Amino acid sequence: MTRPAFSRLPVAVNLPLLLQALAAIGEDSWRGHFNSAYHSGDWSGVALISAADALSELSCGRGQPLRRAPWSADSRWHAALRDWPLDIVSARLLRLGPGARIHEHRDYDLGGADADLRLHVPLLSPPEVDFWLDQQRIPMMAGECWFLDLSRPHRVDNRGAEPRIHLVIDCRPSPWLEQAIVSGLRSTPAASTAPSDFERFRRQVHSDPELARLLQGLHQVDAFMERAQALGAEQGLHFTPEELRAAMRRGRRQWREQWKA
Amino acid sequence: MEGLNLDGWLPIRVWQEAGQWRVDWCWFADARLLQPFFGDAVEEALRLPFNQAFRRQTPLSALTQWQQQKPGLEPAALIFHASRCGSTLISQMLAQLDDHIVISEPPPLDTLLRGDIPHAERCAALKGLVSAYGQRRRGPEQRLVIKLDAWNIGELGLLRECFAQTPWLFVYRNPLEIAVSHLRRPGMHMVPGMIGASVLDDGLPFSGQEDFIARRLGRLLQTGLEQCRAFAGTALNYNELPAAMAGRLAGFFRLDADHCRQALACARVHAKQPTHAFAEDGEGKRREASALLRERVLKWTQEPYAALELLREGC
Repeated sequence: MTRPAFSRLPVAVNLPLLLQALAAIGEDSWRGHFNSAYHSGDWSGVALISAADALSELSCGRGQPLRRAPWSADSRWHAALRDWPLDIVSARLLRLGPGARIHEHRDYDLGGADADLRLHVPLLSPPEVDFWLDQQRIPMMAGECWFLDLSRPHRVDNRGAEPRIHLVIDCRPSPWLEQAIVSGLRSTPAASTAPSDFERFRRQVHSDPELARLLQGLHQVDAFMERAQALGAEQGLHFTPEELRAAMRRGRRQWREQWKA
Repeated sequence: MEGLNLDGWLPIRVWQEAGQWRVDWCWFADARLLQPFFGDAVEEALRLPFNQAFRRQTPLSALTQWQQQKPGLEPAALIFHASRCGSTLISQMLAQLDDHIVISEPPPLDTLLRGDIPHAERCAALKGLVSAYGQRRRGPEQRLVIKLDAWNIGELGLLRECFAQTPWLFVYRNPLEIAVSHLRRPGMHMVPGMIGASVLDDGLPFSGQEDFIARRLGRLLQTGLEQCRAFAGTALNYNELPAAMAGRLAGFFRLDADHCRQALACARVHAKQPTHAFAEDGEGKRREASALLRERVLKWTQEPYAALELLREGC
């Protein structure tokens, strides 16, 4: 069975109740994530339900799911989710601050037939947030519930001045959830094909041999990356070193993995 | 239709995505392809950061469009072979020649030959792919020679349809020596399930590596024999190398005296490990063969090998 990359589930979300519960979470409850090569800026979380052996608010574990203090102390969380027959492994609030980014990566633990399924419920979702999954921008709006296959390459960029906060729920696969994913596909809005700045720069490089020539002669990775960013910026196209590195990784992988079935 | 500019770009990968066949192009500029295999040349080209981040990906139809816009050299010869039999020596000797382009076992060619692609589309793409490899990137190129993967002898008919005028060679060797080489280090087609369905499959269960290798080798030689008979192929035994390059292969490849001298200068190094000198190693390989391997190889390959030898002597 192959799952779609994403699907907006045909379920009702009690957004007002969830926002009330969110407002009651004190600033000191948010735990930041430090020293990660995978993000820049504020990326922090609050665990509502998490495995007994989870190392932090932002990581998963394999143990029994435990209801954490913010969940137990506020019945509104349970009230908002009780209509969904989900087998919840973890439920977390994840915040990406203004200007923060999560660089492209894959959550390999979410791949495979028996892996947990991850749902995203955007609570605060400013329009300047770009969530890219498989090179497509996912048009998630506050008050919706989305299944995302995050074992595929994805990255998030909050270009706005407001934080983005999602309720992120990991569930065991179940017939109800599988059915909701499939039946949600019909009404799922199309992912935006508007190209990212990097993709637009790539197309320019392909259509302009002179521009390509400036990059083809550079053998050192650092010099190449610096030049590519500068040439992009000259055209008003801004991308990060991480986006460029991710593209290089993708390019190497596409060649090497072609013989894998 | 918008004009394409693929000067300096070569197809390195053909794959299917969301039901559509696509082509991955890599920037080679005017680099010569001197490596034993096209895949090695790709690895080298991919060290350039540009080729990691900015390769081009097009629909399959771009192959035809590029050919129409700027046709490359027609193939001057196709090399088929039984593997581990000197075909890389031949392709490496030709690659030394300034006016030759030699493309050795390019993965996209095998994909187009064996992939699930409608016939008309497949033929157009094959011609476009070969034309892309035949582009003059340096200037002096006059001849394009393509060496195929060993199992592609099964797709010879398809290639004859696309390149009816192109002469082709089938290189083979004493099967016991080939089998010993695969027992030491199996080629992709001698590992069960590695390459997908091919002409080498006989669909029957096998009992051990000796049996498997001998049977696939038998089918490879049998197919080579049948194709040589049906489509006027030139058969060549490893034991004619490297001297044949100045003899009957010079005629086959239309080489002049200068070509032959340059090509033979290359033969002093081992084809796949350029740091090793080329040495006749048949006797050592035969000595190494177990009784089981001898028995299996004899059973499955004796007939087609003898018939190929007769065919060769008759020419």
